[in-house]
Amino acid sequence: IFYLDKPSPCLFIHFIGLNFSFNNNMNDFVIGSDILDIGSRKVDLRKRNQIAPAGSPPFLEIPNELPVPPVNNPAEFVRSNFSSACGNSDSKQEVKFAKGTTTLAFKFNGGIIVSVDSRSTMGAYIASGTVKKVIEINPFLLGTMAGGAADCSFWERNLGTQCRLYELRNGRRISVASAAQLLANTMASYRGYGLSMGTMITGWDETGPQLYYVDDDGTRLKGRYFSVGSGSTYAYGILDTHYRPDLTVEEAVDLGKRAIYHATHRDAYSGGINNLYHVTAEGWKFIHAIDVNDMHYQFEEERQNSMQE
Amino acid sequence: MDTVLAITFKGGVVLAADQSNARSIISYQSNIDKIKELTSHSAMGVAGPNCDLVRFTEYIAKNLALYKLNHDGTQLSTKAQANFCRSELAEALRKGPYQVNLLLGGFDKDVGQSLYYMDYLAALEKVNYGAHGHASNFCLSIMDKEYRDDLSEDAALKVIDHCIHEIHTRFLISQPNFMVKVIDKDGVRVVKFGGDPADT
Repeated sequence: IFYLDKPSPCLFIHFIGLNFSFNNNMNDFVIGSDILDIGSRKVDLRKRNQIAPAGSPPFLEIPNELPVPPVNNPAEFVRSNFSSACGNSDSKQEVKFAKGTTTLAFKFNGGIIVSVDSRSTMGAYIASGTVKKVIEINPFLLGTMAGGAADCSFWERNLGTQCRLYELRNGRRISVASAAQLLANTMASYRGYGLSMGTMITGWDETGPQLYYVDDDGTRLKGRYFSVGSGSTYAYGILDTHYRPDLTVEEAVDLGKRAIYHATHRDAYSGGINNLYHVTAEGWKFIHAIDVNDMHYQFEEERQNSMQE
Repeated sequence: MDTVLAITFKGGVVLAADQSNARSIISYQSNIDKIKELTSHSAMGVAGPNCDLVRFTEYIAKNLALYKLNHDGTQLSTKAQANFCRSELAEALRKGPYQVNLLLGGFDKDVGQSLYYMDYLAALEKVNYGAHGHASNFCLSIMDKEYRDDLSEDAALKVIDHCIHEIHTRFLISQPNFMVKVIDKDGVRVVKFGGDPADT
């Protein structure tokens, strides 16, 4: 998935789930097998088996802090060489992280609609057209992903772990406001390290439907509707014009669908499939997964039909 | 990019702040309340990124509440609160600085109204009026001309209105909504706002 132009000499950089090795002298890691091993956790399992013998239950490792490169200024190093910034400010980097998105969510009288695309781009290359950008944290909490794919999926998964621990410790489900605050605190503690994440945490708790926008610089905003990602401006155009709190469920689903379609039509970094969820007091429900290309021809046909009338 | 304005009058302080939160070319919200109440008779208008704004104001407000609980209901004076804020900013400056500029206003029974100007480098100064952000370039001259020692509350609100009108006329960035609060002997109250912060 990652194509390395030239390896940097004598530098070992460890990312959770991804292992690069540039130095032949490392004992545990062999050049070649790790590069093909991307995504699998064979190396982690090897290490873990040394500590806990086979047959014992797996222990849950919540990283309190990520290991950072052993350089003088790790924040600056990580920010300038491994950041996942928007636009093409990472064109000088060896590794261009996966990003590019349109996600949106809005509250209305019938609950919350969450609608996302599914394209992941690395520079001008479409890495995937089937990314799941909505994370199901628990049956009543959803999180969306925009920005760096790795940052989003890792930290939202981490948020899911923290939410489950809260449930076990307190005997009740976590509120959406608290879940959003946990994520915002994590982002605040990694400020300046070049993380890129723009997410919406949404769900239904005792206070009703809630929608929070959480950012990689620790911003946490409560609102009626948000759109995040490279195509968000196009989605805002549709949302701002046609949003009303008293939409019916069908109208709301249609609005969410159309806003994503128009964003994918204009933004090169968004596309693929529109995944749409509806959150109600009973929890979230997956509504549909429609290819935006099919939507294009369907809307075109509708336009022709209405013109002929 | 945020705007915070403040002016003292005979018997209190007027604080005003814009209500927008934006990133690059997108405005995310325009009903944010950036004037945080610290105690019953003091509040601070804060300019800076949302993260630091929330973290710093909640930290200060909760510490002031804790002081009151620990000291039999005694509240810190505005001067003491301002110096506490300054020392927290200064200590964090070389570790993980809060990028906030603030105007802290309060009313004490013995001293009357007071306004303190603080910036992100932990400078502190007691002033009669002040402004933070790019808007300060436009508004300080208006306040310099129109400030008097014996302003009434209505006159002070009028000065703030002149400043907001100037921002809407000349400032490049759109800040359509402003929150205006007054602190006097009866406490902190909201005078007017453009966007309702509870409308979320």
